[in-house]
Amino acid sequence: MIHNGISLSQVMPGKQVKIISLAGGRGLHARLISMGLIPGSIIEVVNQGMTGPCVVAQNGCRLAIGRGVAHKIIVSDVL
Amino acid sequence: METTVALAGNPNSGKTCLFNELTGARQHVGNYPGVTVEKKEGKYSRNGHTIHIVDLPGTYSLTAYSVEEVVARDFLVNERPAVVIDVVDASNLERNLYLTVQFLEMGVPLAVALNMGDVAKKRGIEIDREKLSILFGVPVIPTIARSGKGKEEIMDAAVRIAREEKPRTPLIVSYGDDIDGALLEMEESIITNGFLTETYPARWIALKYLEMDEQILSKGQKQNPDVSAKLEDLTRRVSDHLQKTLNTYPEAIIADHRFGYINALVRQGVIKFRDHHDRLYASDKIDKVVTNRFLGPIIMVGVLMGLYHFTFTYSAVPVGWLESFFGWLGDAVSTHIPAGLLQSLVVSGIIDGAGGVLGFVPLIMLMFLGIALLEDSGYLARVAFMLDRVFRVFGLHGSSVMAYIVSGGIAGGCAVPGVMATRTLKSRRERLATLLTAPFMNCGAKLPVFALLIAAFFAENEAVMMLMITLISWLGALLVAKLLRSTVIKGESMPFVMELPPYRLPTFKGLAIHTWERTWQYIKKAGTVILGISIVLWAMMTFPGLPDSQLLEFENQRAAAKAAVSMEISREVESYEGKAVLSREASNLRNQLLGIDSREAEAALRNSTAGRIGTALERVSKWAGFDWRTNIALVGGLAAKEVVVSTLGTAYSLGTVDPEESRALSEILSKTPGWSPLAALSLIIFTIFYAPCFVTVVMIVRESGSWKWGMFSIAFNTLAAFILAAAVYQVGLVIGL
Repeated sequence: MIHNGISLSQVMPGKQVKIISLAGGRGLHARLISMGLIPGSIIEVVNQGMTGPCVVAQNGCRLAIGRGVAHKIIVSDVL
Repeated sequence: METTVALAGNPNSGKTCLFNELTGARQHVGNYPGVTVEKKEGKYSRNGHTIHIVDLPGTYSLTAYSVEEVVARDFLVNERPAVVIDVVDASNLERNLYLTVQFLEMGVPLAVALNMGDVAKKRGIEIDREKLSILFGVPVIPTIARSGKGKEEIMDAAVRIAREEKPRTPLIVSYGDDIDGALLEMEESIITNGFLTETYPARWIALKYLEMDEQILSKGQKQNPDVSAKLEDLTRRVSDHLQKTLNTYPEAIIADHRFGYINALVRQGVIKFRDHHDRLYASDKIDKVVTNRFLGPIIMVGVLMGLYHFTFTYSAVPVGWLESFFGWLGDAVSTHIPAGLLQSLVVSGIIDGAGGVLGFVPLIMLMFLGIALLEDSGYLARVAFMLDRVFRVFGLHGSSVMAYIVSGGIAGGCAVPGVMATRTLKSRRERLATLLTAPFMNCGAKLPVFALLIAAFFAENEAVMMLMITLISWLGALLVAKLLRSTVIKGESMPFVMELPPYRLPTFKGLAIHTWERTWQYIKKAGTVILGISIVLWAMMTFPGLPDSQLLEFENQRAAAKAAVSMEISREVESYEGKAVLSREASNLRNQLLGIDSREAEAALRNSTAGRIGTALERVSKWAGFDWRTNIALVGGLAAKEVVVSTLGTAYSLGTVDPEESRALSEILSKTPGWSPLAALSLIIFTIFYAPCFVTVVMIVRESGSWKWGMFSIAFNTLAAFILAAAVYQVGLVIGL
């Protein structure tokens, strides 16, 4: 169980999580939001390596998210 | 007046596909002024009406954070298209509607093309388009852009809206008490002061202030500093309040409510059925293999090698045809125009120049076909995804690898299509750093120079030397990219968030249009400029001609050589056409005469403007071990690297040297005092890094949108190359190589 939220970069592949907040500057915020990654939305981690970008699934769409960006997306378990 | 219709939508929504279906070959690609974003326009005819269609860049939103979004937005307010057709991917409805809602808030006349319903259906999504149409108050037309289905209907709907010309009331979305309150207050002062209202709806301006939109803020400050200050004040108040109470920015609340609004709409029965399996079976399965940590890189190397092989192998034949055509044309003209300045201008200046430009065409076509194939199939996004971690270290982007490979990352490419290939890069800084460093790769025209020098000085280690040269180019390109990104193109890297579109089979029409439009652009723009430059270079290597006294001397030498043998033999030489076998005396005389011709050509070259420049440069270039002959050859290389070897040949009195058959020249070099393996190494280094050829410079100017970067690449590369070459040469001298 994840209680206080962890960064997206730490989630194991195959797991569904809910975005709870976005860290980082306003520019990054705006970009993530416009791609549908808003707090409250549910995503599934499809691919996560030790380094490099991860891939998440959202509404039948695949997004590659750079590691630096993934660090700034805070997620929790889907309740 | 002609009706203008703009096509807008998310990347990968099928927008460009629809554009191609609507306009076919009747399109024109340019750039939006001052930026590197492509502007595609075309014509669509139906029932005798011609409609002007503009394909706006694909965007997810309308903020001021990316060039594409600003371009799309500026087009909407400045050009005021009669209708905007918003292409919406039905299989990803909510995210696509986020942009739709923003168009409605801007109050632009809108028609929605609900695209890829077939794909959505396969994923278990069915959409009630009539419901969507009623809720949004705009026509919603189902389309399948890949096959052109629904294109007439969507255009009919667009024309109907354009004819109505009824004033549009912008959509009003509620953003919660805090924001709505502020919006009302702001709107009031916007309306009473007529603040920017001639271009934007009042509520939209207020929203953009709350989002701290740089572009609107600076426009506002220019128009009315007082009102702007008041609005900024209000924004600060709301921001502070939201920071304290919710620890968030206004734009996050705004986005949240927009998505909330969309979700509420969708829940009113717009999506009739949704299967909750969020699976793209085929695509995910391919990705499991293609982006696998071990298999992925291997497959990628294979695909890139394949692209490279495909481009350069299959273009060799048509390139050969074009070469022989221009060769034939040159010969044909030579027989019709008497020898002299005019012949030299037409043959060496114009025909060789035009041949140089058009010779690239098959190469460019095939390269773009290959890239279009990778791009349209969705594989290119995966390449960027896999390489991003490596290239990011140097301030580049995963997609930069494409430009490097095409430019000659595997020796033998060409920087011209390489620079054009940077178009797949969306972030400006990474793109600029890529297109400025791609010419360091070893294009096919640099190879003869390396081959010549390796044959003369490193014949035992041919393969090792080629590998070294390739590694030096990559290392140099990456390090220079890092240097540029920490100095002149400094700035945050674009955060890497990228859609990986599902794999698709590219359509023939899409590939053909993609390939053709870029090739044509190259022919048109590069052709005119390069022709001019090659004429200038021809003039530099021709004028001023030798003084009469010297010409007379060479003439006397010829006469003396002829006088030394009998009349018959000299007649035999004059009538020689290359077929018959000459007698021993005749062939002796012929060689003497050719030797005189070559010496004359050498003297003429040294006396010409280029020769004088080369001689003058000797004072500096000697630090890197180059004499005047090398200098002229390198100056000639500015036009096209192909001429380096042939110019060296002329400078060493060999007459015309075929770059492919430079054995004689390499023998001479290895015996000439002043040349050494060290000098050769220094020249190799210089050749890798110095100024790109003019064709490439012209493409850099085009792709970067300013002459500044073209000039920069000439000056910076030459300086960097010289420092490196001189350092190698001087250090080598000291340690006694």
